[in-house]
Amino acid sequence: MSSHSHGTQLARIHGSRWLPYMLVLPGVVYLLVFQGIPLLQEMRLSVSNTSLLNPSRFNFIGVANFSRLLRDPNFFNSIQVTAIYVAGCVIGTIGLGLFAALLMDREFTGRSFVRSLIIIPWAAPPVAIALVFRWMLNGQYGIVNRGLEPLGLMPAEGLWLDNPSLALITVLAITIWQLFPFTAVVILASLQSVPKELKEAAQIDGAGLWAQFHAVTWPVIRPTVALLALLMTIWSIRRFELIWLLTQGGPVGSTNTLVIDLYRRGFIINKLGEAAAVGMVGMAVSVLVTIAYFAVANRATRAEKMR
Amino acid sequence: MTRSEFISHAALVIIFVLAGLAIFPFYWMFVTATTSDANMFAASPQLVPSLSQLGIFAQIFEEGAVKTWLANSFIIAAGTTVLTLALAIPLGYAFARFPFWGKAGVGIGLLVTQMLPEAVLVVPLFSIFSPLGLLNSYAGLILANTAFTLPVITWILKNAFDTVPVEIEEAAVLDGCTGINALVRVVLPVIMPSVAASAVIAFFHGWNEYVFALTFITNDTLKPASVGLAGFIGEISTPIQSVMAVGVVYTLPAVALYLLMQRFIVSGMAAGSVKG
Amino acid sequence: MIDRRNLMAGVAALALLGSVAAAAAEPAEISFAASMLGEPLRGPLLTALVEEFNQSQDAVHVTPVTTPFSSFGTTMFTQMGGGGGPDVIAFDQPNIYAAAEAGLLVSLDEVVDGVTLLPGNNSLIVDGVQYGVALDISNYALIYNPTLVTKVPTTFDELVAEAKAQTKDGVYGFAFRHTQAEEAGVWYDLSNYVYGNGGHWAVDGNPTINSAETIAGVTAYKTLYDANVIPKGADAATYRRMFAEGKIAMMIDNGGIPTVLKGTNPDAAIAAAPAPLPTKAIGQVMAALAINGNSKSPDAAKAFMKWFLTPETQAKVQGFLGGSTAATPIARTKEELEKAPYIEVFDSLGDVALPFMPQGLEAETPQVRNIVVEAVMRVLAGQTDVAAAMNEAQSQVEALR
Repeated sequence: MSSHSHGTQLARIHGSRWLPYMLVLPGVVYLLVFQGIPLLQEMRLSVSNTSLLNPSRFNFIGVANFSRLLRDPNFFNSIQVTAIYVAGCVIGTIGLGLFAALLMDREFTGRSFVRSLIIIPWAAPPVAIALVFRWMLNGQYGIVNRGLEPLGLMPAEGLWLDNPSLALITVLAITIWQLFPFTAVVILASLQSVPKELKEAAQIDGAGLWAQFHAVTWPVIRPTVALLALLMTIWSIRRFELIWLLTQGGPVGSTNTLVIDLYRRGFIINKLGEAAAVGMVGMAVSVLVTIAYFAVANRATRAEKMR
Repeated sequence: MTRSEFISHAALVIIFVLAGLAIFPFYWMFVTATTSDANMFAASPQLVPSLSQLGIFAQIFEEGAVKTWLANSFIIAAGTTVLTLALAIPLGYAFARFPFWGKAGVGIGLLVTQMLPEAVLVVPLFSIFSPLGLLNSYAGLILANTAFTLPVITWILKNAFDTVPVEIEEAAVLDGCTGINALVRVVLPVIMPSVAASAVIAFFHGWNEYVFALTFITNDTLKPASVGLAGFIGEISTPIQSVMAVGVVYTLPAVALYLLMQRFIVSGMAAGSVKG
Repeated sequence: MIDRRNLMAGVAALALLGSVAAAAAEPAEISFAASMLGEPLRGPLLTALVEEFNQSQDAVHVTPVTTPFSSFGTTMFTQMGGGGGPDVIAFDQPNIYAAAEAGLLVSLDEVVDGVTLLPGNNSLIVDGVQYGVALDISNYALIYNPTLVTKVPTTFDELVAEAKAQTKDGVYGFAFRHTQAEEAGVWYDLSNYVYGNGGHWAVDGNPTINSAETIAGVTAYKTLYDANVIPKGADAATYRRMFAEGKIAMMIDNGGIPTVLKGTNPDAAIAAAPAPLPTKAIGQVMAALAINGNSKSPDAAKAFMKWFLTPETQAKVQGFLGGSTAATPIARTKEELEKAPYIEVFDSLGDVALPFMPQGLEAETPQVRNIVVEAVMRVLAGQTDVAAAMNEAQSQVEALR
């Protein structure tokens, strides 16, 4: 039975065909006012040379902001940084999350305790995380360098976040550290719906761990993992305060993601128009990723049905 | 030791190492907060908290600002939670249950708004709030935060409503329970875990939020802890111990709430967001 | 003469207050934002001063607003752009230019009429109009730890040699800002070496980023960076604290810093000397009070500023600024100089100190700063040499116009 026939039936029983509209209206109006209107305003800004100091003085300059971005090497750098950051976050959080979930999906003493500990990073505020990592990575007194120095593993001059070749990877590691608990818990929950009998049957058949995972576990959790990948992508494109408070996009633009670039142009150099243009590009990328995701997901569902 | 025994031992070791890595920074925040000035710059670091320095926590509360920050964060987070749920429950319910004109459009709208970085909307929201007197108010921050929690929470709740058999409602309606009543009395209790998970997610968002609070609030008495704490970065005279102590008291409530509601969040997540 | 002028200023302030009072029975409410208000040492003193003003009359009531230094300019501009913001704001110099060019500031010509201002305030005149008045003016000099440094360097080579000699046993010979995360701070510190080598960022609106003198200054900065004498990665907050704990021997820093160091550690050993660079020129930083064009009570704001510039108030301000000076010339007291003899060093630099802005391109300071600092970061990372980086920065800045 489709939800449509149920819905009609329900509406009839509830006695009002206006009920769904009454339910939807407040939320929709809210989003129109607080997301829709500001977004339109931001689109308008992207074709103007409006400055932070005069946001209401509108001066139409066509696509000049966009064509300036196309000639700006910093902009291409920030697209590249965003791509690496997003890919790193998705692969890192899902890889580590899946790994941790598989490890926790077995009986051992202290399991629920460990599960509680592991989730803590996800529950912590990004501002606090940025502060403690800045301190832990401090060149002279940070515990990380103090621990690594005797092992001879300290990076050049003890710099992490201030090292152009290490900053991005360091920021990535901190991001993954904060988010893998989330992917782990979600994957763990979906592992619960893997039929035990199937796993046991595979074990009796003498299938190795990998074969078991591939044949029994993966098909069940695949939709969850795919959805997590989409969530991680969107969240990574949006992420601001953690990166801003760790590096402000530096050094030498090595952690300058689109959102950081946007904030920098809008609020440090005061060029709201240019910042809005960067924001439009960022949104376009997000929308494309989502469309691609649903296209792939739909095809997969169809292929499943064909089988 | 057989091969499978070895694997399960190794797995146990790895899982405890991961758990250790997950909590080490918080442990370190606490250790640093309780390190004396002399040990802070000493040749070898102090590795365990020194209990004689616990007074630092009393000290940061004495100054008053920290208390105000935390109270403000709480008000903003609680307000965001209530407003989000009030809007998202009917929206998610309608989405799960009814066909209505414009449904696809609203669905796409919900998806697109999830992709908007907060930084993009700071300025337009600021110019909308300014004439309405919503700057320097809890209301302004709650309204802005809710705009960003509403889409994802609606999604989670819609998926949760999907799992409730329509027959339950039909039975309730036959028993004389109509309209909104059926939703509140019969359906909501069934998806309580998802509602709890949504509440915690919305609360976290409000508790953690930084960009809007940074730009919309100039009045000291309204500043939340995120802005207060970030203000310590690059600040000369506040000792690192105090900064870390404030970090601890800012992190603790969020983590505690999470641990308390853990069961609901996990099942809510599973029932909701994840089923797509 | 000065006394009579100041007297007149005081009378004018009273007259203004009177006119404000006549206009409204209720006191006019205005807000005053300064990052100094949030500082642990000077903040409470400045707040107390504001409170004193509130107590002294019934026409105007000032509410202090604190915003962290790191996000101060952005927060103020966002609010002013949205049609709001505090009435009186203590800006960085470049922000005065940006805000004045956007038409968002109120002329202070009437406020400063009859007041003798220190020359540093001239940098706050935009197109002939005084848009800002200094809250504090801080000149840069060599600050050193006299228990560590016995022979004070007088040339750059001696400075490098002394810094190297001091770097041992957990002590670093020198410190300055050198990370992108502190872009504004790097710009200040770097500028000191450029000015001290006779260079400039721009002259009459023409960028001179690749001039021989400017390149010499950047090279000096890089020489110290490469000498392994600074705590790499440490931000100003950290290394200043290290100085107070006796872990840093020398730094070129501003006159407001000794007070901060004493606040961190009352026993900190501090002395100062002019920076050992080829010329006497050096940097100067200031917070400048301006009146927001969005203010609903500009007259009340002006009355507050007038009062702020009276000799009595200025003397009190000067009293808690340490090695920085207030907006008007105030003689140092004898006990002040006995307690902190280094103050004289900072005071002696008022005539040679230059603001951290490219001259003639003041409003573009954030862009120029970003371009130059990114270029220098590439140099420090070993990706390019000084001359090539500065040439490229020069052409990028030229392309701005």
